[in-house]
Amino acid sequence: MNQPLESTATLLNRVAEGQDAARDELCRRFLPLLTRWAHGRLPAYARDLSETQDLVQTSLIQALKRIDNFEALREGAFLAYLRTILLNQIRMEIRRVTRRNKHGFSDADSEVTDPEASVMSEAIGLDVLERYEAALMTLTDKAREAVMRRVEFGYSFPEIAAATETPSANSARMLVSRSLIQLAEAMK
Amino acid sequence: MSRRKGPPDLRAKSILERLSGSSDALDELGEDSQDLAERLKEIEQLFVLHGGERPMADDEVERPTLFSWGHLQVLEPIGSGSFGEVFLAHDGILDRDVALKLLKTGEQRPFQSQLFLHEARQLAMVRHPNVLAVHGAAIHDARPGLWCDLIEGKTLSDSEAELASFQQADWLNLIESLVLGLQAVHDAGLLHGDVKPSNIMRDRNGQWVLMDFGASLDRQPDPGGLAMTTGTPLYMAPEGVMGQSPSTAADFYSLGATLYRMMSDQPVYAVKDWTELASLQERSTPIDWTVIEGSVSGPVSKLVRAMLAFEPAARPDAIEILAEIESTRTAPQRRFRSIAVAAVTGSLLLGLVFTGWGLVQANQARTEAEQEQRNTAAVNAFLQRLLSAPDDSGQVRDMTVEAMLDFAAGEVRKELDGQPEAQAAVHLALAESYEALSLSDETLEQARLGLAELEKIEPINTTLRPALELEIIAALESRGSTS
Repeated sequence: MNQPLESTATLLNRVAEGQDAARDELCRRFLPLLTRWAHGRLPAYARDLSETQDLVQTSLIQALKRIDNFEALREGAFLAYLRTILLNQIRMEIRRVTRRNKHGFSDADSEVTDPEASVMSEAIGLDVLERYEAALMTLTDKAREAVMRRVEFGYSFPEIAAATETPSANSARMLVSRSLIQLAEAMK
Repeated sequence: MSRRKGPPDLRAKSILERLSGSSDALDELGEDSQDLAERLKEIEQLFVLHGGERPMADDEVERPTLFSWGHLQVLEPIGSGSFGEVFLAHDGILDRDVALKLLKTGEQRPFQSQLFLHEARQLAMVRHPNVLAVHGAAIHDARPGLWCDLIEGKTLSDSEAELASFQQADWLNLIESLVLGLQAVHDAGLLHGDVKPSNIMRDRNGQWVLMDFGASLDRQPDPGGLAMTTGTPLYMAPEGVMGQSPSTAADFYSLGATLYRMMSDQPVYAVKDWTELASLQERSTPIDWTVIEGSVSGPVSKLVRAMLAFEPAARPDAIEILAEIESTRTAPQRRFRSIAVAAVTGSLLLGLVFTGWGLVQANQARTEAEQEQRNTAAVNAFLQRLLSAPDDSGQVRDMTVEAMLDFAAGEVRKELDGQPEAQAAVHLALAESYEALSLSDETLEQARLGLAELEKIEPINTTLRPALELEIIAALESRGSTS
């Protein structure tokens, strides 16, 4: 990943000031990241019904519309915020598709046992996903952001260091390591 | 959150290594649980399902670069200090990550660049496993800097948990490594100038490495204007505090102060400022040794004491310290050898005593055996003469056993004159024979005669006497039962 010329925080400030170029740059930066993330969170049939990228774009636009209300302009906090919006969008999409299926528009071949099960929950089990989400909420903001970036978004440690305002990649590595232990403890 | 103490679960460590590149946090927390490993495994599965670490099309190109400095791609800051900044950088020529130390520049430092370069280049000539390897030094974009090995590990100041369980051998290894490192630096004509816990690192292979030659490369004018003061005050030798030029002995004082700090968790002098430190040093204030004597062995404590001597000349040099370490290491072997020699000598002495006693006993037994043999021979000879003696007509005598015994009894004194023990033995034999013939009076008489002969000798024969006494008792009983 090329080093951003401007930090996310700077871009967010510029978006808050109404600069369209900053908005485009933020979208360019986060779209691939969030698309990849959303891919695993959507049920297989839901991914057929709506382009994941569209869903992500919708979420991004929604988030940027509310940027004035977004006080913590740190990159880590912004990504956590985007993730929450995107999760809500995914849930809405699933409900919409489920309702439509109940009204007879379903394709018999795409019927699944649990219509709301994502690829992720089918692979690892809904129980694990729920315990992970619950445990994530027990962490401090910084620890939660570090874990999310590493586990869900595949950030490298220099990237995590920059996003979490940690002095170095080694410090970020330790932050992730400690946070993962706390997370694992909380998942029991 | 539950905390279970014990060695961390290897599986948990392995998963954490894969997820975060480090399991040090697990060591620090002392977590040990199969459950923890299971949860970490679930997190790892989530990591993989999310796509894992995002792939880079070309890792070398894609790594974020802050700026270039000469042939180095500067990747991220990893530390800073009064001297300047340290960065993680990639050396494209060596194709490896290195640490880049860039000196601060300013109007007050125009002369420093050349001094810095000169010493950095000398340091680059030092190649020792216990010294951070400096690869080169240069000035680029008006910033002097040097690049060196990137050490991943823990500094001594971050190793308190490990130090708590240090045994004498561990302390000796640590001291030896650092002294060897200092010796290599000194041999290159340089001083370290800033030995302290945060400048000593243990790499992933467990090797202690002296690093950060900040003080020697970043000398600043003393406010007094007369001397160059370098290093960290709490670990600085008295002569340095008082403004004198540093020497190799000052590095060993700093090493002593570093060890003192790590052994006691307190500095040699707990002071707040230079003035207080200088005042204590000038007065040669005694150091509190009690705080380290409880935590380390006598020989290690003695080494630290020697290094912290007030007078530089009184401090040991590298060779002396290394010799002392070797001596301490081999002391148990020497003690073992001494004990072994003592044990062998003792065994020999005991052996000699027992052998001597055995010889005495053997001699005594031999004497007794010889005496017994002589007695037997005398008795046999007596009986032979007795049986072969012709009667008055010159014919061999045809006589009853009783008559023969009576005859023998009459001949004992004459035949064995001067041999009381032999006479006693013959009297015993006669008593036993009479007893076999149920002649109790004769038995009693022979037994009494035998005891009488034994009374003449000293010491009393312990074999014949009880046998004769038994014959007397038997004869008396026999006589009592027949009367």
